[in-house]
Amino acid sequence: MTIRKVLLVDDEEDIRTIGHICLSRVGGWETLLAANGEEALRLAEAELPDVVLLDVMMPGMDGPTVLARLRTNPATAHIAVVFLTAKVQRWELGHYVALGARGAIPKPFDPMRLPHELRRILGRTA
Amino acid sequence: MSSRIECLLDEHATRELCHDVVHEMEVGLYLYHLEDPEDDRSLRFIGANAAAERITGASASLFLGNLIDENFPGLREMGLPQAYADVVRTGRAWRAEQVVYGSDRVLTAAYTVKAVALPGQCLGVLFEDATARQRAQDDLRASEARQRALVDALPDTLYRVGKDGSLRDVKQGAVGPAALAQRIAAALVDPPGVGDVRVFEWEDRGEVLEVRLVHAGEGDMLAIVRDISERKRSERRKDEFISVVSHELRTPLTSIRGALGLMEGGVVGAAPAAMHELMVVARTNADRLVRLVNDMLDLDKMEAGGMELELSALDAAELADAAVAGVRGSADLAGVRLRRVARPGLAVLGDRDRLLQVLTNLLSNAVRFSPPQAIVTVTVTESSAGWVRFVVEDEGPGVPRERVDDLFRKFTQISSDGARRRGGTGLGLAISKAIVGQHGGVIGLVPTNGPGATFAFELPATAARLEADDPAVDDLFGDLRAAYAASLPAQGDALAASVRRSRADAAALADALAIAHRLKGTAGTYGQHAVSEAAARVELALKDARASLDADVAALEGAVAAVRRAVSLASSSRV
Repeated sequence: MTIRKVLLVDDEEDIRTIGHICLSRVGGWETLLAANGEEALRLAEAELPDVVLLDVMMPGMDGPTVLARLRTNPATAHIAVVFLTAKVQRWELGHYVALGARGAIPKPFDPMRLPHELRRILGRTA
Repeated sequence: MSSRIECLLDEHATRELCHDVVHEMEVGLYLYHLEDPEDDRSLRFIGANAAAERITGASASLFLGNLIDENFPGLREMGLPQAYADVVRTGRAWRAEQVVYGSDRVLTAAYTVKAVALPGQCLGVLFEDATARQRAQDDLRASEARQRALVDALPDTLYRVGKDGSLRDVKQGAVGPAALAQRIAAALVDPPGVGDVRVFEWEDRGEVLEVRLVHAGEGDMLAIVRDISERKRSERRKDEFISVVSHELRTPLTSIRGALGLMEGGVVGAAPAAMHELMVVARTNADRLVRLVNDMLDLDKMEAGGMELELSALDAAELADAAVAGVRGSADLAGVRLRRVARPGLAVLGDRDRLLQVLTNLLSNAVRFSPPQAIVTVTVTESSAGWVRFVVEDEGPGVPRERVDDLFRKFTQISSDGARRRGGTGLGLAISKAIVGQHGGVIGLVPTNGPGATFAFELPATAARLEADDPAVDDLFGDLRAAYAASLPAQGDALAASVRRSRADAAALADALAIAHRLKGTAGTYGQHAVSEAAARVELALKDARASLDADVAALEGAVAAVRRAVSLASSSRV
């Protein structure tokens, strides 16, 4: 699939800054930022990004909850979601996929490779 | 007649025995003869035993044949000769405590004296140095008091253990808890031997007790029970602290690593060469911090017993290949050659990611410590006990003897100068040991005569059939596999070329075997075409090599067979 617009959701401002530069300049994509779950749901519905890069642990609404809410809204149900999380264990990856995510990218990530990783994950048969 | 002789012989034997006893006993003995029953001055000294000389410090030969007053002046003032004569006359024994006596011949001491009548107007005077005995008793009492004080001061509870495991508190005399007694009774089925200590932990209502069962001489068993709850709690607090700190470090590290990566990558504009160099330094060290945090979390998880293994039957050779592939990049950078020698067909039951972590760790250590042009070899064999053995050898400086013992402890570096500079976290071997241990295996440094270090670990072999990967996981990594499959013919070509070029030196052969083996393991996933094409090329190369070289024929045949099997597997499975 072709990526044009990416929504990055992370409660850490610095990570949003890094992510923005990385996704827009290295990936060449239009990049939207959200600092929490509510903001993410609002932006996703309004902007309909191709993919949501979603932090797992956030205060308030956590990543899996945001994913579930995206899926229950017909307008956003089709949007691909990739988790951005602390060290990925195999069973966790399986768990995220079972929740309906396309994959997971471990933190800390290499920003020069992040867009490539994202493309790789989304390039897989849906 | 004969009975009389026996009787005499018997009497003789008895006398001999008496003589021996008298000579050996610890009590001093003087013998007197009362020549005139009416005169106590006529007591004549006729003998002594060895103990008497030892106790008085005076040789008996000085006294022999003399009258009592000649030998021991001053004794008469104390009334002893008079009492002795009475003993001979009446036949009744006489006894005195604390007879303090001394002369120019006899050591001054407080003696305990007992006089007994002997046949033929004779007298035996038995005596001991009461001072010495008193001292010995005092010493014993003092030592008991000291031990008692020591026992009382110990924070531990001491129980004397009955044969049935019943417990009696040594300090208070109270009976120990029944549940603990039961546990100890169970341990007594196989009791510790002399000098042995059996240690186990026992939990009771949130309290953790450490019980040491020791053999305390002659059928006696002691249980030393220490409350280690506080220690356990503080260990837990420490572990939680490490865990929290590590997690908290991860977030800022993500930002630092990310920012450095973007700058280094020139995303926000090209930096001057020197600045770029500094960015590389910063980014490299951020990576190292990330590794350290990951290692700390790993170890933390393992020590808390939270490491869950995902067990499956693993091809040992394929595992080694994957590990070699993982460190290929850093080996190339360091100019170190990697070699892999494996007996095909060996399988272990284990967690692939975790075992790969162990192998990768050993290999990257080996690469880190290798000089350029050196070879690092990973060997997979079967040990004599039927276990699968992985050996990683390098040609580096080796491990200094004094470091061998604590090599597998946390934050241990193999060499004080090198390892930190070389980017190690000091946790790799501790983690490896935990992982191998969790698999029921053992890991260690193999003593070698030559230079270099040789690490090895062994895992129980499994006869289980190698199963195909989980289809879900297959899909997940499908593209990666597809890319890999697509690269197989090229790999075969490259390999064939390298085999021809190098005239199949051992390393290339090992690589060929590795590829052939990998093909075998993955034929089902990649489909017939790619596999057979690659396999054919490898096979051709191997045949070439075999024809032209004195290579290990058996290994080659194994490789060729593996390739054939891979091809047949591929043709029988989905495309």
